Amino acid sequence: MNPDTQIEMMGSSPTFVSVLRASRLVAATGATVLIQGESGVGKELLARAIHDASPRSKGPFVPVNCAALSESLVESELFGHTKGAFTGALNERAGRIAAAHGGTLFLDEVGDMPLSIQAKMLRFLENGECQPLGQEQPRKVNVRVVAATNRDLSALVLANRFRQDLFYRLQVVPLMLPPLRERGQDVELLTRAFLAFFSTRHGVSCPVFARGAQEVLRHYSWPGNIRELRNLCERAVIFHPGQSLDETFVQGQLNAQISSGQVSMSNAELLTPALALPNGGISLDTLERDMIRAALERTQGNRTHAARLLDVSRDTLLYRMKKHALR
Amino acid sequence: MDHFSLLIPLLLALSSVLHCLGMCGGIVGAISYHLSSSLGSDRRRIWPFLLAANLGRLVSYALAGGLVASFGRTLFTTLSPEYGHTLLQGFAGVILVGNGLFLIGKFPELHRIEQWGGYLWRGLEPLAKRFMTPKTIAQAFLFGLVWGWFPCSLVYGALLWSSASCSALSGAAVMVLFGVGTIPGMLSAGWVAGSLVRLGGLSRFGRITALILLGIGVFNLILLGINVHNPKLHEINHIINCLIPP
Ligand SMILES: Nc1ncnc2c1ncn2[C@@H]1O[C@H](COP(=O)(O)OP(=O)(O)OP(=O)(O)O)[C@@H](O)[C@H]1O
Ligand SMILES: [Mg+2]
Repeated sequence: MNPDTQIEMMGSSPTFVSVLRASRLVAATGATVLIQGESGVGKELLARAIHDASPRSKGPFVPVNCAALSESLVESELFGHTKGAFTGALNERAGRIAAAHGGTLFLDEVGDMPLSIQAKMLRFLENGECQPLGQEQPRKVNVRVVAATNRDLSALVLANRFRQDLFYRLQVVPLMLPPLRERGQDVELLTRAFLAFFSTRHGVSCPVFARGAQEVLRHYSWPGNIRELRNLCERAVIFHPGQSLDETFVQGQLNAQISSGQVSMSNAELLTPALALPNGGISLDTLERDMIRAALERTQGNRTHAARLLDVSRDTLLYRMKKHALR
Repeated sequence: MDHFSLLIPLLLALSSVLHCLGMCGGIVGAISYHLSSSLGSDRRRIWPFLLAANLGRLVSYALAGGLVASFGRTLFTTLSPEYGHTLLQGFAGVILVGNGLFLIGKFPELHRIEQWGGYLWRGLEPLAKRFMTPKTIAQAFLFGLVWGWFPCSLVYGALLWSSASCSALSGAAVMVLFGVGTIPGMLSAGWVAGSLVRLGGLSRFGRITALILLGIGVFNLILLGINVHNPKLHEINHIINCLIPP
């Protein structure tokens, strides 16, 4: 059980509330939903809320992180396989789609789904048929799909990295969660709620943010959105229970978060050039090696996360690491 | 030109196409999905349902428009039997300016009304959910009736403007025209959404129409100012009358 589900989706800013309202209506149908929004805005939470408000709430909610699956495994993971379908397939396996029968399949980070699997995914969305590897006969399944991504899918379509037909199938119901910095008073509301929540959970008395600290929080850009705010509040509760915290605490915390790099980039940042070419030129090869090394350092060696920072699939990263003899 | 003011609700609707796509596009998408999975993908069988739902929405808008218009009229004539009409004209101008500013993002306070609308919606939501998956055309119409009360700042902007109408009937007409203006955006949701190029074009188009509305509002207020000082200029009087709902 996800401990997050103890928290309801909170907020009172108009755009956020409208999205919630629309999502509750949409939940009543079986329509495919595409949730878009920056990292940490609550896409997964909303996907669960849609499942819970739907007539399928008694059925399973099956999340699949498309970015975490390697290209070679993704097909059998999603569609399942028969015994002996490929070397290493010792047993039959049902796959995530079949596991979601009667419930909701949550395709998280759908923008990172390998192109090779997209055609098969499209067929599944079009006629509800799931064909396990090594099996001739497709199986009919009854699954509602909710997908989420923090990437700009239409830009990926233009760049030929995401199939246009799949994009249209997914975004029958497009829901766009606003970033925290556009949610005005919600920063305050969420801060109070998180502080209270974590003090109860850790059994300590609740810290408060002094006026100056609140001011800093209100004007901060929150690249990691609600997740970032939530983590900040949890640290405040753990390290300073019952205290009044001023802006130095907050500033220190926010800087620490930026430099530890757990904050992912927004789409706008991804579209503007990240680096300038030095006047004397640069070796592309060295640049690639340095960037891979930096990404691995920043993620403490976690290759899935490093691949995400570099916007490539995990397989691509592994291949390039080998090329540069990195480990 | 005498009924120039009837173009205004259409302008209001057109400048909000992008907003309609974003907010209600999903609702239309969900209903269409439901219909095509229960009726088959034959578009000709789905259209009547979508039209019925939109018709229901228009009926609710008309009702709301009629109500606020008769309220507005009563309020202003009670405030000042002599200048009630002039007040109404000034109010119309202010509302147009407010709408224009809201549409270009300079007047977020209009969102406030959405909160009040939210209280009403809480009572209606269970009904909306029930008719979200219509089996008959009548149910689709009922869904539309409820959907018309979905909290939306743009609808409230149009309602405020229709409250400056001189009669309940013209208030209702204003809202029906506004509703008709929103239908193309609503129904083309699936088609337009997602194409960066088209969306970019739409947002520019929306800004231009918003600025036109703003301009008409300011123009109206200036003329009204002149009119108050020189009530004898019939030409001006006539233009002002064209600018607010009959
Ligand atoms: N409206 C909200 N109210 C309370 N908590 C929220 C809200 N939205 C998100 N959260 C919390 O913020 C954290 C991040 O949410 P979530 O995992 O759903 O984000 P996400 O959009 O899926 O992020 P990513 O793109 O990085 O996967 C979670 O701990 C979640 O519980
Ligand atoms: Mg997520």
